[in-house]
Parts: sequence; C-alpha cells; structure tokens
Amino acid sequence: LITTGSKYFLGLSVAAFIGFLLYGIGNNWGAMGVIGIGSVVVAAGFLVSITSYTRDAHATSLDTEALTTSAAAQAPARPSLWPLFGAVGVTLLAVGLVTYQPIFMAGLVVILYTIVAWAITAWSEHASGSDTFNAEARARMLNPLEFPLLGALGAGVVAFSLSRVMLGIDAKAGAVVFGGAAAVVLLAGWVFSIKVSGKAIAALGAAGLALVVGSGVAFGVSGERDQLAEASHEDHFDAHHRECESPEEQAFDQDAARAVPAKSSVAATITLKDGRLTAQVSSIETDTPVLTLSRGNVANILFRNEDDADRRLTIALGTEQIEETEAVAPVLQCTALIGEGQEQLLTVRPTKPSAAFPDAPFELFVPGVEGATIEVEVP
Amino acid sequence: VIPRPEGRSANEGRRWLRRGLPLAGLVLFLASCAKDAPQDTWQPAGPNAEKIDTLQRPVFYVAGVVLVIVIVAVLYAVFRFRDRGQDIPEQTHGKPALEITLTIIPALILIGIGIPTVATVFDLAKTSDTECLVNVTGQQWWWEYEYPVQDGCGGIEEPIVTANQLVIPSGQKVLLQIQSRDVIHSYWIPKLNGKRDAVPGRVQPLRLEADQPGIYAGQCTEFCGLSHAYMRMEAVALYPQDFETWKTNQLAPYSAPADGTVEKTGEELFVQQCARCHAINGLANGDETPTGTLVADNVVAGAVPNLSHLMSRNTFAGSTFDLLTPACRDEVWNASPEEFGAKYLEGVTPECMNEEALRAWLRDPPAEKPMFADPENLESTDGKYRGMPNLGLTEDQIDALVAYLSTRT
Repeated sequence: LITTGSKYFLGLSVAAFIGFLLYGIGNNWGAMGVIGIGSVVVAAGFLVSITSYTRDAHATSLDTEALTTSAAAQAPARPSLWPLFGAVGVTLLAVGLVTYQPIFMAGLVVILYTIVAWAITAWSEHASGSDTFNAEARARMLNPLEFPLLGALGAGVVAFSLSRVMLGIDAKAGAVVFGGAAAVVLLAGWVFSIKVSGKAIAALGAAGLALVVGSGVAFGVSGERDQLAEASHEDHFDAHHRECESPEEQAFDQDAARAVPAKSSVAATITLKDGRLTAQVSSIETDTPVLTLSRGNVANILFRNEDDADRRLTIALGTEQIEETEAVAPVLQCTALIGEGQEQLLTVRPTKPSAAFPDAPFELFVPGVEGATIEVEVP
Repeated sequence: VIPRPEGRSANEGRRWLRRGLPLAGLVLFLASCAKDAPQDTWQPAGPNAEKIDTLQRPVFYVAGVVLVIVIVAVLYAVFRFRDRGQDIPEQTHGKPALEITLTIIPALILIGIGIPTVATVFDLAKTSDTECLVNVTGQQWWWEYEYPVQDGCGGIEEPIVTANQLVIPSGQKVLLQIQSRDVIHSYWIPKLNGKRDAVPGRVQPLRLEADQPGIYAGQCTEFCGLSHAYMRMEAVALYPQDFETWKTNQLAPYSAPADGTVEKTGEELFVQQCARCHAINGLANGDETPTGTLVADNVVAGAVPNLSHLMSRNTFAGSTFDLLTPACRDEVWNASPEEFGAKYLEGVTPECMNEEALRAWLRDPPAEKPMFADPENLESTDGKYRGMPNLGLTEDQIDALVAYLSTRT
C-alpha cells in the first residue's frame, strides 16, 4: 500500500528527475543547476524510501484497520489547493527553462513555498481535534513566511504596473499625473487619519490598487511611448549609434544618467565658457592644454556647460573597423545635451594609444562650437 | 588518548616552553634593530611620513605604558590570588567611583590620541598645493608610472610612461593619482607616506615628498593574487636638476641599432616576439603601427611595462629582480645624496648589468615569478595572460634580445 505521504514524495522525485533531465540537456549539464536539482531528486527519493519503510511497510492490504486509523490514512480536513500550486510551480519551472531565468526563479519560489506550506498545513490539520486550534497553529507557522512574500509580491506588482504607466505616458504628462497622484495619496491619508471606517479604507485601497494594476496592464499592452519605442527600435541606446557629433539630437539622451554615480572620482573637469574649452585636472589648480588619459584605465571626465545654449561634450578616440566590413568609423563617446550651468559625467576607457591613430587625433570637442577642442593624449 | 612519547614528561614540555617563549620574544625584539630595513616605518624621509611618525610615536609610547600596566596588573592578580586552597574572598558587586575613573581615563587617552589623529588625516589629505602630478596604476603584478602633460614637475610637454621605479624631484610636493587596471592593490612607500589602495575605476590621491635624493622601497600591501609578494616598488628621488636630466632622457627619440649587428637582430626579434604587448616608443611594427598597441587583446590588465628606457631603471618584473649586479646596486643605494643623482642617471652600464637575471627571465618568466601564464589554462580569462608567458626562446634569441635591450638606456 502506498500512502498519501509516499505518493507526494514519489511524485516530487519523479518531477525533480524530469526537471533534472530538462535542465541538464537545456544547459549543457551546467554544474550548479544540475547539482541543485539532482540533490532534490536524491533527497525526495530518500524520503520516499523512508516513508515507505516507516509507514507504508506497516500498512498492508490485510491490515484493514490501518487503512482507516493510521495517521497517514486520515483525509485532509478540507480540500487542498496545494497540488494546483505545485503544478503551477512545475509549469513555471519548465517554461522558465526555455524562456527567461526570472520565470524559472518564480517557479522555484512557488515550488519551495508549496513544499513548506503543504507540509505545515498537512501537519496542522492533524495537530489536534480542534479545527480552531489547528488553524491557529498553521497561521503561527506560516504567516511569518506568507506575509512578507505576499507583501513583496504586492509591492512588485504595484511597482511594475507604475513602471509600465511611466514608460507609456508622455514624459511631461507623466510629471503632472504622478504629481497629482501623490497629492491624492496625501489627501487620502489625511482623510483616513481623521475618521473613516476600516471598510471604507479597504474599499478605497482595493479601488486604488485596481486602478494602478489596471493602468499598468493597459499601458503594458499598448506599449512604450513613441519616442522610447523609436529610440529602442533604432538602437539609439547603443554607444556605437549615438550621434555624438550632433549638437541637437536628443533621442539617446534618455539613457545618459547611468554614468552619474561615478562623480566622486573625477579625473578632469572640462568647462565650456565663452566658446572655448578649458581642462582642469583634479588637484592641479591651473588649466592644462593637453589632457592625458591612462591607457586601459577608467577615466571620469566632468563636463560643465557655462554656455547659454544646450551643449554636449564629445571625445574622439581614433577609429575602429566596422564588424564584418573593411570600413572604419570614428570612435566617439559623448554626454547628453545639458543646459547652462549643468554638469554631466563622461566615462571613458581608452584601450589604444593616441600614437596608433596619426590620422585621427584624440580630442575633446563640443559639437556646434567651432574651435572648442582640447587635445587628448593616451600614451 | 595519544600516549606521551617516552622520556618526555609534562614538566619537561613546560620547561621548554618557559625557555622558548622568552627566546622567541628576544628574537622578535632584536629583529627591530635590523640596519638593512628599507621599509622601516620608523625612519621617515619626507614631511608626510614625518607627520605620521610624529603621531605614531606618542601613541606607541602611551600604548606601551598602558600595555605594561595591564600586563603587570594581570600577572600580579594571577600570582597573588592564585588558588592555594584558601577560602573564596568576599564577593562584591559594583564600585562606582573606580568604574567611573577607569572609564574616564581611557576616554581621555582616546580623545588625546583622536584629536591629533584627525588633524593629521586632514593634513595628509591636502592636495591643493601640488607641484608635480604622477598617475600611478597597479596591475598584476607591477606598477606603471605615467607623467601627464602638465606645468608641474618642471613642465612636461609629452607624457612619460615608465614602470617599477617612480622617479620624483626631491623637495617637491608630488601627488600620485593611484588607480588599478584589474584587482585592488595598495601603494606604500613607508619612508615617504602611508598606504593608499588602488581600486579599479577610482582615482585615489596620495602625496609623496622626499627630503633628500635616494631610493625608497615599498611593497604592495593588498593581497592581489599569485605574485602579490613580488609586487614591489621603488621611489627614486632626484635633485630637481637631475630630474630634468631624467625627463630629457625619457623623452629622447628612438635610436635604432646599426644594420648587421646582433642588436639589430634583437630589434627584429623584439618586433616579432614582444611587440604585441610591450611598447618601445618610436619602434614600429611591420605595418607601421606603434609597438604594444595590441596589448589589450593579450593581457587581462590591458598593459605591460613600457621598455623604451629599460636600462634607465635598476629593476624589472615588478621590481622583483635587479638589473644591476649586487655590487653596483649597493653603490647606488648607499650613495650620498650629493652623489646619488649621478650614480642613478648612469643607468645600467654593461659592466653593471645583471645579465644572469635578465637571461633567466627571458628563458622562462613563470619559473622566476609565479604568474597566470600557462597557454593551456587560460579559459577563465578568455585567452588572456596575467603576467608574461614562456615564449620558448632559444639561447641565440636570448643573446640577441639581451643585446638589444641593453641599448634601451
């Protein structure tokens, strides 16, 4: 006789074994994943043998009493949804293996949660003769796990929904909408603090959540706003496709802010003022006519625009061969267009010396400002 | 239970311990009297190291007095009140006056140490009056020095790149801008200042200033891999006029060996075997590109030592090996400040050249200094080396390369 517990572990070991094979074949038997899932197979198989020996072995078809009286034979107190959860987890796991890692991870979390929660629920249902006590025992064991998980899931859904709205809505309208939303939240908080019933708060919260998630779904379906979609479609975010010689193009500037955290380690400050560029190396008070950058080292160059028009700083670092062709293209990197009085960082890592490009001298320049250049030396 | 070896009792073991411990302490103490200790932190040779010394000496003395008091008190308590079968003394709890006193005294000591410590930290961090700027880059397992174009250092109109030996003008406030191309290293010339980590992606400033001309030794002090112990450095201070001579020499144009000589053969061999990584200013590959431009494709750090003026420095391979014979090395190291500049600027003359060390290096570099340079084992680095591989040179090729390199003065 195979009892419920053994069936569960048997099913788990078979599912884990299938996952083991799928993962191994799909990932060319990559060591860590194979070892991880293989461990689950071994552990589940071990538990099958233990449960079979300690419980099933003592319940034979002749022992009719055990069929009704043994703990393993007791039916759950109520219908169980855990097999469904487990199936969802296994499905996510399988889909994640062939699509995206986050889906695989979600499947893993669902399966782990199902294992823990199912085991505790099954135990609590037989903890005593009192359903109330059993429910409280289950809550005490599982709530510390469930509440943070549900909270994280809820926060993730809200954040993801808001991000879809932000990417879909017009940039200027977005500022107005989210400013208004913040004001509404503040007002609602104030109203709640005065005196509102719990049911009303719950209803308003549910409505707000539905609005956020619904908006997220709607904008997620309709896609990003045209400007972002176009920039993404035309690969503007790729450093090679930036129009660094343009004094006007702004599409790729949406992606410019990534360099800001390096501001604390600036190698040189380049200032545009009165139509000319000046370079000041950190710790040296006088301006330098030639900026020397170390080969193979990361250099953070701070661009300060004192001009009354929007400007960007561009660095020319020789040329490079375009892949699969004989043609060469200039190697350019640049900041976003920034307004008067603003600063932005340009992070570069030259890998070849300037002497290797006698026909394409290394220099810093500002597109649209004639003569605003500084020679760059990479020894 | 492990049986005790015959003929050795517990008392005998204690007796050995009683004799051995003081002896070990004596050895440690006498080691502090070593004369040949080039990395001695107690012998400052510049104002920055002086500031640290001025701070650390009183702290050391105070800490020494506290140590002696604590040890004497503990030993007194241990021996005076050891268990001799006497009754347990009266147990008391709390003695506010004593406890407050014993809290206030250490607090006052810490405040007394803390105020000058903070002042010294800020003082050492001052960089606004820099007179000479040098970019220092650490990589496994050597240091590169680059003198950018600047008005400082007496004026530099073309960048100078060198390795292993940092050359600075004595009496000038030199600012090192320290970086790393691979992992975290730490730059430390004990006689000139404290240490500063070289962190990839960050520029870390460190002020050096030497009172007198001379060579000051240092050592990487952040574990950085296989040959961390062999990642050494030397700071060479020259009088400003000697420093000008050194600069002029470093910027001298390339001088090609005469045709038909063994040096010319060495030059051709250098282009074939070494120039993918090593640069020599003015020397071009067959396709007219400068030597050393493909280094980023071959080495994890993306840089190897520039060999343009190899014989102007006294060491090679991360200052691990001397280019000078021991006798000549001693002459330079022990020269008086007045004579030091002339001795150092002589460079490595043929009679002083430590040819044996250079040949051994060219024959099999990983055998001389542990490096990650086995071509069969570079999967994790995408085929790139950490250090110099064995090029499998023949003795004739080594002869030619040594002859050529000896002309890079």
